[in-house]
Amino acid sequence: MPRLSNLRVWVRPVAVLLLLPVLPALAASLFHPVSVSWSPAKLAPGEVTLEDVLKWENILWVDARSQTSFDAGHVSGAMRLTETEWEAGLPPLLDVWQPDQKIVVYCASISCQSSHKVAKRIRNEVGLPEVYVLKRGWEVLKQGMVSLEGADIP
Amino acid sequence: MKLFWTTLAVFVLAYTATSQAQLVWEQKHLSFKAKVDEPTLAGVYRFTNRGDYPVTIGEIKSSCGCTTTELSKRDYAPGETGEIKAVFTVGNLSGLQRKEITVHTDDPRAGKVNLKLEVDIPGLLQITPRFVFWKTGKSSRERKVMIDVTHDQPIHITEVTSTSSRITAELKTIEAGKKYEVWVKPENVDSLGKATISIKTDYPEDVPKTYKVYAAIK
Amino acid sequence: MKLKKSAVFVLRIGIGALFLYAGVIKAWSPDDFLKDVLSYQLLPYSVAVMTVWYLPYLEILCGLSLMLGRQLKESLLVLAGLMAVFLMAIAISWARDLDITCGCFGGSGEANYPWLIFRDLLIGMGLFLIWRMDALADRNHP
Repeated sequence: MPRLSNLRVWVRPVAVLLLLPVLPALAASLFHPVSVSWSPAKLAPGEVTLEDVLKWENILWVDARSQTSFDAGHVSGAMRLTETEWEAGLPPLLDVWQPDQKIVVYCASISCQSSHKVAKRIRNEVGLPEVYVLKRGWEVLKQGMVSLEGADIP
Repeated sequence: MKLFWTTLAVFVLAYTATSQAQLVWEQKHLSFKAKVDEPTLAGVYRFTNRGDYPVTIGEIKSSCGCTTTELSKRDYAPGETGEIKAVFTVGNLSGLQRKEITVHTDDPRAGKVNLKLEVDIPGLLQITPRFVFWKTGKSSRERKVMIDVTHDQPIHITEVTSTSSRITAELKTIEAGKKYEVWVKPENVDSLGKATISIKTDYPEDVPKTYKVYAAIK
Repeated sequence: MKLKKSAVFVLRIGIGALFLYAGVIKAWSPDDFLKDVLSYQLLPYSVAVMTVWYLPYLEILCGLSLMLGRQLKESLLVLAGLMAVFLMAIAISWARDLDITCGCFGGSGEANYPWLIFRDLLIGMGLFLIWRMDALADRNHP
């Protein structure tokens, strides 16, 4: 039995073991009923990246998360609007909003849906123009590229 | 020495093989369709402790104040069955609501358990848009707000009022009980102003709902 | 001596089956597996996709090798390397405070980091035990 210290003897069998799965892997990538896209999902309509937003000037941030999350940290001056507290949150938002301001809605992460739902309602029901959703939401915002405030923000 | 290694081996195997949570849930997702006159609805999440150790349920948090939970007791011995009752208050919500209930337990393998509650609340009527605005110094032409009754029974608009005398709202009936229009017009757009337009209906009979549309001169 | 041989056998079958099962689950739903890999935010997208297609079959192959007792040393080494990588990924995610199982519709709860690390260490120990006990058995019965 080859000792661990005698590495050269191991290289070939381990390489074979590592290379063998390549065949089924290749076959799977071609024939598997479930498909996986080879490039990351493009932006959905109405979505923007933080990179895009940083170039804009007149922005009204809308936080679509819970009060607890909001209190812990949110974009400075952001308004909070959620589907559950829609009627309560709408008037303050409308008071603050100025024509020509772009609204950017965000929630916790890339996978949460609340920002999309809130943005959709603002566009369709409220009728405001220029409403966008920040892709990745708080996960990218917490890195501090925009001014933040809240209990957890130093 | 051999015995030590063997017992250790068996222990390792047994422990890694049983990496399933102890609390087994009958249903983690509940879905309801709310009836029009139902102010609340309730769902039950049943679970059984299929592990070898007792489990204690700690904090139960729901993602919104509209969902409250009830639990009869905290500790469950192996084999015991329990349930968490979730009560959802419809309030002013409409459309599809998805709420989460996070259950903290001392089960080391499950961590926090996420239960989902989905409630579809049919809307009574649709008001578009909910907000109209004018820019100072620009056009002051009237704006139209459309009201469509989506409920299967007719709903009548009884009164339309505005909180500001500078911004008036006039009701126009297109089809009684089904389709209405509210025309909102500012007296002038020389200075800033805002108003809340209240749209009173006759449904439900005992507590008729009032809807709000917002107007502003910015 | 017999006790040790049966202990090795039980461990091989058990841990081998674990990897086999894990590999099959991943091979079955590459889209779910991709979401998991991306949530660690460690690999660039294209590398993540390649991993998603390749890793399950490596796990299946090594799991089978363990269960059949063939190419044991090699598969133990590869699996040990895999476990080391998994442990590092989990530790890094914990340090970066990532939620590696999105609680949104589907996941069964937040990632319980201490448990995940403990479980992976246990599996690692199991692999180590197979190696040591098999080596001892070899020495006594070349």
